[in-house]
Amino acid sequence: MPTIIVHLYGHYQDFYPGGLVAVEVPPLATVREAAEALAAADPRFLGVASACRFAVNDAYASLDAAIPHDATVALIPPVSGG
Amino acid sequence: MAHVVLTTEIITVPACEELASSETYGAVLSFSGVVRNHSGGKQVSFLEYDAYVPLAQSELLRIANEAEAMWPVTAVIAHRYGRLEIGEVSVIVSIGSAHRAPAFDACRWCIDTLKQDVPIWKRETGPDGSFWIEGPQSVKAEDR
Repeated sequence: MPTIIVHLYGHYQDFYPGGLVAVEVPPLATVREAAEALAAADPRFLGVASACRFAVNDAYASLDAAIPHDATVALIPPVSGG
Repeated sequence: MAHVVLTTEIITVPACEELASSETYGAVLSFSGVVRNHSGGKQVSFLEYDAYVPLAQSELLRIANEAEAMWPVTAVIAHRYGRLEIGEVSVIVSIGSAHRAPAFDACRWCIDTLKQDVPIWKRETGPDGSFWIEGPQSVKAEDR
């Protein structure tokens, strides 16, 4: 199965050194499948599909968006800028 | 023309207002967000803003461009990241327009939309430790 690297933000970045986690996903996985794979690999990610947003290649992506090969994926919890 | 800045350097209202100004504008106004010494009932000693820089920059520009599409204004948004001390300015929205009404409306919309969509997070440190702020929630951070 392909492996994708997910860039973590907010408190999730404290879970892994460098704020990066590798997760195995089905070929041509959707964002939703990547979220499910994260939760299956580490229960601290349970619920992220509904609680967080995701970005693919530095743009917000819906849960149904496909993740291209070698894409940059980011997990984006609710923001607090300003 | 919309102008946005995401920087670790000090940001100032005069610099932003100069970019928002024009000889045809009768109104220039700014909103400044300032680091305060309390949050959610807890004392805050300093703040660190963490940004997903490429997406934060593109979202800031999207917001400024959308404001200019919705109102006859020039929109300028500057946001700092990295460590900020109490009293420092973290964000500035400056709007120029021929008249004041669209300037006030566009300014309010820009800061409200920024707070919903731009991927920047506060990490607050005080006597109780450090906390990530995620929307309305505060989550204990790992010590550094």
